[in-house]
Amino acid sequence: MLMPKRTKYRKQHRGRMTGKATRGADVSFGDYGIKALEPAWITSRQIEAARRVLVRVMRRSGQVWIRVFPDKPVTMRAAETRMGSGKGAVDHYVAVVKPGRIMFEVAGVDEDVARDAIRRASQKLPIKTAFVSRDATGRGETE
Amino acid sequence: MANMRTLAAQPRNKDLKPRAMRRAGFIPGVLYGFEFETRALQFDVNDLQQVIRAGGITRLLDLAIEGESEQEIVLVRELQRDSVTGRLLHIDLYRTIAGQTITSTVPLITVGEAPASEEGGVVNQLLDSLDIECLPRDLPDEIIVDLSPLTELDSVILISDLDIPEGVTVHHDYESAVARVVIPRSTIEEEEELEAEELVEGEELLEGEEPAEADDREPIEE
Repeated sequence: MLMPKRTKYRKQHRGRMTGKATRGADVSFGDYGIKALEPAWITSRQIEAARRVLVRVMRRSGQVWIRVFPDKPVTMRAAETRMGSGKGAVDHYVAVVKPGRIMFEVAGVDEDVARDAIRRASQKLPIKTAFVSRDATGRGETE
Repeated sequence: MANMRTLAAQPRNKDLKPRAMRRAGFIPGVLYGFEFETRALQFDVNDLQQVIRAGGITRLLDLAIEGESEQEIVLVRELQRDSVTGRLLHIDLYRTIAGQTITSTVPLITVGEAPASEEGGVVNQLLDSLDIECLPRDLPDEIIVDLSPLTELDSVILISDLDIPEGVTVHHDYESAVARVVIPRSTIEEEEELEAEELVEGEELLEGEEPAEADDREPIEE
């Protein structure tokens, strides 16, 4: 699973997820992509589950790019502990995803296969997503 | 450049802020150029969308500004879209001068079938547009990439193999690959590897579940 090799600070504040994605909002590497339509914290497990589905459905014939990285630590308090005594221990890492963000890209497969793979991979993610294709002519992404 | 489309524009209504302008069915835009005073314009959203759908973003356009007799020949420099809905937000137009070269991006359009794909190869298109420099009259609408020379597995089409029109300078290395036939691994091999990989990753996953381990990974510098 994806996680940072080392971090400058162990724990982070939760922050806010307002606004839309301005960076990473175009299909840049592959032919097709998964676009987030809602803001969410995507855990490294969800990213890995979606990646596996993409690879499996595409039967390894194409290429997959993961455009998000879970670099935000999420802490959890141990079970049955009283309030206080400081912040809990780091439990897992998440990627902060805002609407419009391209989360995965694929290339090297037909559109039908890519659509199927992306539809199934989206089911592993906790948000609404859209299938988008690359826009070389500037006419606008599909869907 | 043979059939240049006309794009109608109006001087920008300064009473409206961009958001209100979009609500009223207009898209704010700007026209600039060499030794030319920048002008704020607005475009009817439907007109603009039609021109863009017809490939206007990579072609020269005739800009007709309301109330002015002279038309400008312009090129779309930047198009801003809403990252979620894809709705148009703003357009940048560059005014061209007949004898002065311009830089632009031209889409690469693939045609034909690669014979190698019948042998089980997959065609990967590595470049989908070219950055070029040319005089406005030489600007091509698109550059065609014929896939029929891809007869063998691992064969490649380079930029130097493309039919680049005269007067056009390409801002890329001519030895860069445009399309390549890659060999997918055999299905049996894939499935075996996939199963093996899943076993290994499953084990990692169990180890990673312990929160104490995740904590140990972090250098404490608070």
